[in-house]
Amino acid sequence: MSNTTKRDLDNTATVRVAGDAAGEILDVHAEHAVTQGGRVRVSMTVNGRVRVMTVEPRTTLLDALREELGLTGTKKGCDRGECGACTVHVEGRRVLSCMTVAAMQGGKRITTIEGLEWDGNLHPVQAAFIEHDGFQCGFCTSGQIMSGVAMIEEAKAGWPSAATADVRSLFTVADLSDAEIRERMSGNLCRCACYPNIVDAVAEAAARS
Amino acid sequence: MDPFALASADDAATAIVAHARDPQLAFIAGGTDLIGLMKDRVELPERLLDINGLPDIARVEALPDGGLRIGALARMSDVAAHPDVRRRFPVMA
Repeated sequence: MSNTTKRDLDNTATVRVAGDAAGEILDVHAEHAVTQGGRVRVSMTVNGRVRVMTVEPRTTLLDALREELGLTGTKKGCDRGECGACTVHVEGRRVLSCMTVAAMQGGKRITTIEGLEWDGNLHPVQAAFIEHDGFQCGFCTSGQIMSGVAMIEEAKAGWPSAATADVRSLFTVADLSDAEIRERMSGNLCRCACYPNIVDAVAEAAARS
Repeated sequence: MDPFALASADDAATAIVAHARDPQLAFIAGGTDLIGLMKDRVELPERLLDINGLPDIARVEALPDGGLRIGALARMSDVAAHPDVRRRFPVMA
């Protein structure tokens, strides 16, 4: 039964296997292309460089970044989408890389903590975290910073949050109160409880942006 | 996670047929729910079909009759930030 249905899927020309070098998708012609546990080639732009990897379909973006590319700045905390330590940007939006299938990111633009600095200069959010002591042990910090960077862009784009009193008017960076920042950063946990300093760091980076 | 095969579809009819024919196939969009269930081994699909390539179902649009259509692939954050949602359906935003 399961063989028949699998063949049905394989033989459906418009069902495709994810990930070729161009970041596009290949037509499924051969059964081996979707063999269970088979590896797939995927290409993505990571911190401005095109990187090609061959991964198992079950490989998360987090494991691909850390194990395949050696980008260990992105941390594995809970590995179940609860702590935010693995936050990276996909096409400029923050995502939890532990809950993201690497093979589905073909052609996407990924930014990790390693990709924030520019020409040897820290990103303003990185600098603000140092200035305000926004960490103790540092394990959650790369996720916090990636979230903070994207969060400021979301505020600039006028996105409301659950803390926004009036969602009808367009949100601006000037509306980023401490309560707004706390709500918008609530997907990133800090076991050292550096929250007051994290809020200060994000607020200053937002004000300067 | 247990091993699985991954494919993607670029039209809805194909995706629906593939799903109807194959009880071991699950759709995957964002994965926030499914990946968690798979990591906990609550869901153990043998095949995942990536539906992010399906056209026109990520849209959020106001309808002439005063209603709102939210595509199945629309992200929560896009719904919340959508001007029509903010103006006419602020409770949802």
